[in-house]
Amino acid sequence: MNFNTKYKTYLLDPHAKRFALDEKVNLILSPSLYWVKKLSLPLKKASEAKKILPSLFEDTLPDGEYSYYVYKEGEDFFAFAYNDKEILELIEQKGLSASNIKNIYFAQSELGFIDGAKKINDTESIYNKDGIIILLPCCWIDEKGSLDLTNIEHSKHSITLTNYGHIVDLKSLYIVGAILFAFIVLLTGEYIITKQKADAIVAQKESEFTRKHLKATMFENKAILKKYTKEYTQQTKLRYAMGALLRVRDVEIKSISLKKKSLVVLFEKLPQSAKMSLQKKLKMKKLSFKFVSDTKVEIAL
Amino acid sequence: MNRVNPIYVVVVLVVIVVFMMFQLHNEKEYLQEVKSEYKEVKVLANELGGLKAVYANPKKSKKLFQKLLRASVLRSVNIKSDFTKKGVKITAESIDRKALNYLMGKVLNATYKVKALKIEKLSKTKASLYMEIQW
Repeated sequence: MNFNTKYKTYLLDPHAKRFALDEKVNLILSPSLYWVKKLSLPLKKASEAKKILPSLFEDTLPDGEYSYYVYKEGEDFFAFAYNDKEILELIEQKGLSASNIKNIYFAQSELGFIDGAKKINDTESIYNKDGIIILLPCCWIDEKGSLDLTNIEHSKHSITLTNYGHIVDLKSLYIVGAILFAFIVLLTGEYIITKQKADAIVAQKESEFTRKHLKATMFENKAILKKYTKEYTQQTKLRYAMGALLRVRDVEIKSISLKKKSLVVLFEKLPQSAKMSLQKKLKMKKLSFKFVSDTKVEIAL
Repeated sequence: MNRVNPIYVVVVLVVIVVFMMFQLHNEKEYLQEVKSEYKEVKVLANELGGLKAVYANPKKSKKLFQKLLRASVLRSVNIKSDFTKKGVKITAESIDRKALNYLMGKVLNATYKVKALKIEKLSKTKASLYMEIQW
């Protein structure tokens, strides 16, 4: 039971006057806006009964999209069918904004307290007939005043209208939502795994820097490597050149001098065959050289 | 009446999926980048480690060269050596063929950084030598 102290309550009926409201209100649906059945079912809970509601109303309802609601009162179930779109359109016609509606109730669940008939507008009365709230044309029965909703205490049986139910199937929407959610979970999982892998590699990279005593930046390390590689290449070339010179037969070397980036060799005697052999050996080692004279060769390092 | 429209929820989920796909794509690219950087670091570290062991060990080079000069073949030769912090300069006004072959063989077969070299033949068996080695 909700004590209605904060929001005013109005009855929504097709014959009611337009509302001129700028505040949040509770609405009670007139019996003309829903179908109700009082049932005695071999079920314990209302949630169990909810599954069979469409089949219960199958023969009663005109063509259209309907939503259903059920609650248990004593041993009886009160089952409702209503057309969301129709009610929403009526709400709009009556000058109300959906955002200004706090809760929507059925007259059946809220007006059980009325005794006899109560006038709700110029043409209609509301009447409690053996526990079922019905709508009657005016003057069929003696009315005992108008319906007063000032101090009404609401039940917990409020409904939510959906204005998209006729556009898409709600069940399909939930399936799509579930698939998307599962996809998000998978993506998040893969994202976390990928991030962990990247973090582990970054940590390995950092430990490699420490273990091999590398400089802080790759730029510095590359510069050092370049310097040592240049040194290594030059020293290797020197050794290749010396090796080639010492392997040539029938030559007499007068002097060998290493100046900056070239090795200058002066021969006392360099026969043509020895010269050819030397050229061949230097070429094999991919060394650039130049015969400055018949007896002098410059080998670039 | 203030129930959230399921279509909005689905739209939000689609947006999250797109966002997560974008994030995952970025993270995967970052992973590839980090992997290739790590490979590069490993290769560089190996190469640099090898070269450093050869060229960045002045104490060891100096010690080995001092030991070389103490060899019996070279002791009889008048080799002047001038050790500095950066290297050594050796001069021999007259060195015999055997000693020269021994010294040059040892120097060239090791990893000494030969920065300057001058060998001049004096006679059939003698030569003069000037050599600079850097640590």
